[in-house]
Amino acid sequence: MTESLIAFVVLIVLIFLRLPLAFAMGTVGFFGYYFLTGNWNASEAMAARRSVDTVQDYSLSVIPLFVLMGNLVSQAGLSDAVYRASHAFMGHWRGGQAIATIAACGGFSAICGSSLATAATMGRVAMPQMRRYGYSDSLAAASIAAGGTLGILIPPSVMLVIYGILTETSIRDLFAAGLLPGLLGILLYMAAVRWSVWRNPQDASARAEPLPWGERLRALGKVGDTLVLFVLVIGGMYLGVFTPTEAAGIGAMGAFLIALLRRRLTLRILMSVLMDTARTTTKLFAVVLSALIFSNFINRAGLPDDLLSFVNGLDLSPLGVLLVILGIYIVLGCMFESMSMILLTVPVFFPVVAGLGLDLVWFGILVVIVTEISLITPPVGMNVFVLRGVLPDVSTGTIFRGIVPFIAADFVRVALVLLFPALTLWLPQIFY
Amino acid sequence: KVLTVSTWGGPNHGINTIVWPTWKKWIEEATDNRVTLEVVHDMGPPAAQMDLVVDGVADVTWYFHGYAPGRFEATKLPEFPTFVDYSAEAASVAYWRTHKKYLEKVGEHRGVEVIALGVHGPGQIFARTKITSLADLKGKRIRVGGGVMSEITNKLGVVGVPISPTSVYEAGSQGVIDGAMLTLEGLRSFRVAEVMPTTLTLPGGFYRASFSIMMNPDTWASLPARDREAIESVSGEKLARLFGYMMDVADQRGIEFAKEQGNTFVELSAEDQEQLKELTKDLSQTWVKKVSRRLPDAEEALEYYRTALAEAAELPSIAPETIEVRP
Amino acid sequence: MQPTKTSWPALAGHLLRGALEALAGITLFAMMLLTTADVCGRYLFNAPILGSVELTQIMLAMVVFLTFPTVTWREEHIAVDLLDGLFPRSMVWIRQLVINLICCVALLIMARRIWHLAERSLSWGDATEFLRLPIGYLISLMAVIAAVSGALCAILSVSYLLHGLGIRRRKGPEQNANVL
Ligand code: NA
Ligand code: NA
Repeated sequence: MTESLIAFVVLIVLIFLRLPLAFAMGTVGFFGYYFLTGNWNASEAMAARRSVDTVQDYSLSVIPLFVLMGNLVSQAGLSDAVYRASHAFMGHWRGGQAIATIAACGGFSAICGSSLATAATMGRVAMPQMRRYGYSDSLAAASIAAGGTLGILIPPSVMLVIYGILTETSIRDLFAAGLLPGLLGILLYMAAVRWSVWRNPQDASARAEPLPWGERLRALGKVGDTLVLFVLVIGGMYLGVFTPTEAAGIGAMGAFLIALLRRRLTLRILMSVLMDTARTTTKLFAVVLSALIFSNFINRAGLPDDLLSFVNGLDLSPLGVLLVILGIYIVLGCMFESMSMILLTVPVFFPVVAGLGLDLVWFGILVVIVTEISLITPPVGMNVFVLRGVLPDVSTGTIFRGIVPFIAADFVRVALVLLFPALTLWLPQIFY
Repeated sequence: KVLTVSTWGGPNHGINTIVWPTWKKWIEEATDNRVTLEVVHDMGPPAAQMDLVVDGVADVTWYFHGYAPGRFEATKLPEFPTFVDYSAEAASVAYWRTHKKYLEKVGEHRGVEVIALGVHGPGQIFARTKITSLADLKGKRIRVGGGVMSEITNKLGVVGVPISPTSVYEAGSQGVIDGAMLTLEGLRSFRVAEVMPTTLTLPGGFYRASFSIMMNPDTWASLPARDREAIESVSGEKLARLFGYMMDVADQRGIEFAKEQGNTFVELSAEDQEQLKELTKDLSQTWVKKVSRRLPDAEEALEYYRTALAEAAELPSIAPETIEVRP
Repeated sequence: MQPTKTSWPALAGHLLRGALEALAGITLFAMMLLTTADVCGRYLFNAPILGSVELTQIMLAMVVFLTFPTVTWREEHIAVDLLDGLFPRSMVWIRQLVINLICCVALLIMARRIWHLAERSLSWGDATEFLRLPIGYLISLMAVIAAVSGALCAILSVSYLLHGLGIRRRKGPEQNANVL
């Protein structure tokens, strides 16, 4: 426990001294590992191996391909049309475009199983639009970072599959169980947007008068291409034409073809879109692989087991234990990358939860929701950093400032799912 | 001395509930608690496990040879279909004996100390629709993991789709694949039974896969001689047997789980078995040629393995000496 | 001696960067085409592309690594800027000097170790499952690129030092809005 705590402190100091995140986590992980094992050779090998393996991880190929799709979608003018339509309908509501962004993130989550990819893609698609409509960077970026977390709860979801395999819980039930909490998340984030603009009206502009219906429908008519792309990807996935991982490549291809048909691409523009996507990819992978090096060290330091004995040492009711575990997840979530958090902690905690007779599907959904929170909590909030990677001109502080209401919304969601287990357990029951 | 065991597979996987706890108990008893094990999850991706041991990141791990094609060719010896039923326990014993006599000298495990080898249970075919014959399989998209699996699907006119076992669930639930070649254990551990209700079986399986349990050579050398001897007495063939036994237990649980879900098991008809035998008879010969440079007596090794298999099948099971620790 | 805009190292750097980035971009485009072709082949003609997964893995590694030197040189790695407002401006060059030194050492250590992994992979004969591509060459490429990136960090450090000592006017090798 001591080693882990010291490492956390050192990491925070390095991060605040502006050492790039990738190098901060990698360095602390590396030296921490050396400190624990006394074996320099092993530490080097561990870090090098993680780097080499992570950049060849097939399931991570969704990141560049979905980011490419997002860039092409913007280039093709699809996001213009969508935001013009949503502005036509909701432009007279303060915060309407941010609400539309949350809805769009929810929609994108239905085709993408990774939160990082969701945030990266939506960052490219939605950010320029929200700026155009006079939204502050803080609200705009926070809506995207938060909306991006929906990617892991709304199926398809890499995380739920991993949880299902780790705990031998039905993945089918998990997918069904995630649906209502996912929709609830969308609603609560929308409420968070409303609350933000109520507190800071200058964050979002609004038109005085609602538009006449004729104009609204005309704007709606222009989103046809976007619908085609969405239907292509989601339809292809649910008809079994391609896997969720392949959906990224197909989506990018679809966006490419639409951009080509709309005559929005020259060779020069295409190359700049591709190179820009590659740079974003590199920045994200550098962070992901060093987060894995860091968690390798934390794992070796025995933090998961220490936490387990801590929980077991408390003499609490089953609900109390569950609350403590969720609290631990939220605290760990401040420092961890989401996938390694699941991989490190679920094997440790699920036997406790199962031993208490609590439902493992319910627990799984709760774990995924608190993991979602980890994506946007400082100092290590992966979705926030993804947006930093995609939008170099928006500062971390700006994003974290806007994100507080969304974190609050997530806490409300955890409370609701805890108090009403039916939110998760009802759909699996009627489906199967 | 605490040996760090890097493990993978879920916490419910038999390697973690049966093999490591049992072997740990054996080692502690044999060395009067001078040596013990510490099992650590998630030290690296499964494919990197051998590197972790070579570099001393971990002391011990288990490794699937299929992760390193090119590095491991001679280890394919126990993977071909046999058309007769035999347990993974017997296969692992026979495989270990063949390793000591023939495969060890090939030196494919450079950089590590091999302390046991193992073979998993029969690899069968799971399907989303009712598939009962080889004819039904034609043109279907079936998950393969390369190696012998791919060669068999090619011969059968089946479209082999290479995806990882952890992706089988998602690919199978929407129909990207019509079926999958996996071990029976996967029915439960990878939740395959939920999406593929039919299992087509062949006695002995369409394929087997080979594994090893390995130790860092420096760690091994650093142990005092009496501890090395003590560990050897509970490793090698005995550990191989334990590994195989675990695979048998896991398969059995997979089958039970699938039956609870109401799934069906269909055995390939006698004619189909004959046809498959005809189609696949050159597989092992191709392998013999392929490894002839590394292993000139491959043919003899294969023969020895089959004889050893028959002998090992007569031995009493290791079951009474094992323990199981649920997470 | 101060290099001017048209000096040959600047030109060579420009060309190299352009070439690496273009190659990464083309690889990314090929990844997209490959997935599409694989899906179409499998669904329409029952003929998936042999080795599409392993090709995707290799291309993914290339996209990430080929762009790494550029991102490092432009100091575009994701960093937390929460305290930027509080940091004394006159000290920025020291901070960047130290940061780049740390990155340089880290990258050189990694480069050496990755090179070692590459050599071992080649000596083991590691190859991909379906296409039998020797993966060791890809890993050597990673090692070389990590070393190049480390060298770039060293150059950055030196140029921050020269700037800090008042020998060079420009703040970094590039006008980097992100940092200065
Ligand atoms: Na999703
Ligand atoms: Na966080």
